Amino acid sequence: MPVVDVRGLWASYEREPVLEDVQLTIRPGDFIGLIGPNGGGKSTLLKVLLGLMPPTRGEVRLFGEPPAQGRRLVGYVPQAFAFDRAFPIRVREVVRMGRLSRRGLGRRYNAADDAAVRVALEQVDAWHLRDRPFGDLSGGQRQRALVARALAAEPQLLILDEPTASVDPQGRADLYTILRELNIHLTILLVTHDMLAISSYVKTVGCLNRRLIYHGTQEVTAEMIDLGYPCPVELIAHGLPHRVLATHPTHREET
Amino acid sequence: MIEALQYEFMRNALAAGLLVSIACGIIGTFVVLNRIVFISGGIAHAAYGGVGLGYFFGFSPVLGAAGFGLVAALGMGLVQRHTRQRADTLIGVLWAFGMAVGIILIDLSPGYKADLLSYLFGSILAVPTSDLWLMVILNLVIVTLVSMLYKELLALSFDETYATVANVPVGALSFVLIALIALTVVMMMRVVGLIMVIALLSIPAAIAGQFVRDMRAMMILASGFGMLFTTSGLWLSYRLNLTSGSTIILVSTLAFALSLLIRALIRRSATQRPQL
Repeated sequence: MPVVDVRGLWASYEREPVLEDVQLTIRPGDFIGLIGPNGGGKSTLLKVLLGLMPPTRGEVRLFGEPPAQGRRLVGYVPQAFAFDRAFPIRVREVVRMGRLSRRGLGRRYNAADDAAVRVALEQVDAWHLRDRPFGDLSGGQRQRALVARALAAEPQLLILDEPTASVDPQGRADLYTILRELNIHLTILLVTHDMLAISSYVKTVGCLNRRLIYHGTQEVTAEMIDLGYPCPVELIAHGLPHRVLATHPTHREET
Repeated sequence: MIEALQYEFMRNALAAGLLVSIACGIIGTFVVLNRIVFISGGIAHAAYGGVGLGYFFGFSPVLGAAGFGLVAALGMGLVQRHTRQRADTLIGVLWAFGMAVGIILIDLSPGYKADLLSYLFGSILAVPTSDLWLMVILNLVIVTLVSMLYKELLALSFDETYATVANVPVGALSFVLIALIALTVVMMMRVVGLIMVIALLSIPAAIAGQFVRDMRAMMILASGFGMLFTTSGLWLSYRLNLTSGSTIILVSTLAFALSLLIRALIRRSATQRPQL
């Protein structure tokens, strides 16, 4: 069964379509990097996948279920800079929120939850940060704590929304290394602007600008360039590995 | 203060201040963290419509305020959650509408209305023992609900989107929270009056929030600050013969200014000394 199955998805704000006829199948073990211009619908696609916004047309399935049910198997990592840094909360408590979906309303966290929190923090190499106030962490540390929160839910799919937007270069490389390790057991969908991730860490690339171009390959194809995304030019300019740009991209067909 | 406590009204005033502080510390923490100070002010003023209803139809104005406050709170909650733009405008309109309804209904009611101002400016010196029991019950309700739903309310306040994805019923919880705010506001009406409710709801929590790293600690510390401000404000108003509600608010405001200063000094010394 596919992890994510999206068919003929349309979504719009105030009748203005943001997603047009999006098809996407994510299989267990995938590590997809989703690129695309601002306003291209990346956040909207995540919202629909997470059941936070209804599609206007089309079908969305997470693990064969509607998003509101299937999302219990999803670990969601939002952008770290959106948080109130003055909020009085420690890292441990943030990570423990990952256990919310497993511990029902009115029930307290127990020892099993604390154990899951520890495992999750160790997986992102952040157990030593457990008693630090969340707002005092650096960008990279905060992002790792949010990944730990997602992991504490023991998910099968990790969805990350621009996780390196406020992270320094070393922190970015660290985070991607962690994700690559997690990908051994987890399926990952990564929305990003970061070419480092696209060129060296993800397995496949998709490009979203209202329509989604995704062939299950790592090359950035001519179609994606046609979609108006300037990244391939940037890629060539920065001398990143050639495998990112297909040699004869024009005739690539969907398999 | 000790000799003043031989009077029952002073003992009741002191008890009312202490009881209200517990609710203020807990609910005020959510108000500050969720940035809904404005809605809370709106609920407080709209509740005046209920006072008017009580006068006009001859039932308890406090009951009226509680009912009207709850309805206004749910209305504002709906507006806040479901309006795409300018929620604050609509909340401001409800705020003024409630007050206007209250004043007009009171105009239309026959009879003597001397204690009207007490709803606006508080009458902590006239709290009857029966009101103290209501405050005890409300405190119990608040403490029970908040401790039962603590992990969900923390998630809702910190990261509502994540809470939704984790299938926490955020819509229902927001309404529970806003209903608790409405009841707290009506309870505080006795102590500082509708006009200054937001100050006593937000200041203790805001001060506490600067010095703690944990939401539970923030609630406890905020309750402590509330007790300190109501008690010292009451004592000052007794000694200097001033309006007690306003004195309490003035003490709180000065303490808030002082806390900002202390916080700034702590930050400064922290940046000057390199961290180990």
